[in-house]
Amino acid sequence: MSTKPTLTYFGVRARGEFIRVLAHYLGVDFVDNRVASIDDELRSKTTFGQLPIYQDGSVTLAQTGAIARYIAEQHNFLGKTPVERAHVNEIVDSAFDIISSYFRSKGNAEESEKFKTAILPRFLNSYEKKLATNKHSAGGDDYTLADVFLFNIVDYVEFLGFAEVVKPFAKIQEHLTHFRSHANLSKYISSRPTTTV
Amino acid sequence: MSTKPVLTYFGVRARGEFIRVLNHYLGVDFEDVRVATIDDTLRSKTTFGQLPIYQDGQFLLSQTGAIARYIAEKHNFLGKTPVERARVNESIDSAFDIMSAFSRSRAIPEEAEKFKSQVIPRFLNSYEKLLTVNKHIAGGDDYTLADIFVFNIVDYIETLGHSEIVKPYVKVQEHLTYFRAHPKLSKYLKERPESKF
Repeated sequence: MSTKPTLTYFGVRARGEFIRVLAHYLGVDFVDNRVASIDDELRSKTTFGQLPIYQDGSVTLAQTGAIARYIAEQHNFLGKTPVERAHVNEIVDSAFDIISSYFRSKGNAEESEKFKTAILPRFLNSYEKKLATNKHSAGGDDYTLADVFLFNIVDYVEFLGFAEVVKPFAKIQEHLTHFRSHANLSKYISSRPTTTV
Repeated sequence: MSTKPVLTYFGVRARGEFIRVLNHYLGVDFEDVRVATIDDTLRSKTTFGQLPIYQDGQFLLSQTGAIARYIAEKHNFLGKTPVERARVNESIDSAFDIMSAFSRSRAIPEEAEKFKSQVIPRFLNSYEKLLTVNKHIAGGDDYTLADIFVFNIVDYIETLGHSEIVKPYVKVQEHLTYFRAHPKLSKYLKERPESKF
């Protein structure tokens, strides 16, 4: 049995990709287990019947945010003060807002248009404002989980076809470049499987 | 200017209610500002153009989860070990999953039936399982933010008109009873404004 932690998620990016990118960035040696579907046996291992799950020794965790924060805490990556930690949480949660909003709008022309022209730009404007104040989006003296989440969600919306919407944001573009060329991430990003979503 | 922290949210329960219930439970003296809409002035104060926001002195925070964790951290209410903290986060995130599913069910008619017959029972089954193991849902020796979130989300499910679905879950019912009768909460719960959601 592997002593490496194991992430189990579908063979798509969506929520699981946050954990993959985080683990690669932090240099966590993990098993990136991609499944086609959840069968009953797998479901019985999950807390809420959903993926991703993360097995770390005898502990199995569910919920993308919980897994991300657990891994980040192990690496002192959650922020150094209560205020910084709160700003980290703001950004982490905002990334989930974007994902939820995107998937809710899929299949509905009016909602999709609203996502592209109103919702996504609103978040990008906020990220740009934060990054213009401090290249560390949570406002502290070093990168945190927030920066990895901000990178991944913007990278993801580009992947989903919104690159033109992201283009004009200069600080965000710098942020993307920083993480895409990062020693711990560049190989994974250039060689990760192609997915549909 | 008030030195009390100020929560600003709409005059409904939904996401803001998590913060209201949390603050009452922890005995935080705060202003519960309820607005009909977000005008441009208010929107310019928010991080992502959304409510709730929480003003604590000079510090302004957005995102329900970030606000809740910030308040909880001040009261050592986030869990005592990394695993317990991860379990706390699992349950907090599960409550937001239910909120998102509810939003989706309002936007997409096919999802409304699924919300009632699949989503709610799946989470209630998980909460029942967790509460059968330990009356503290995150598995530690005391209540945490997770217990407040699970109380509030199940209470909310009942507010939405689904009490019958919740009825058979014995441990969940005990959990509801415990918090509804709690001296810090009972008065607020009885006197808070009626709300359809």
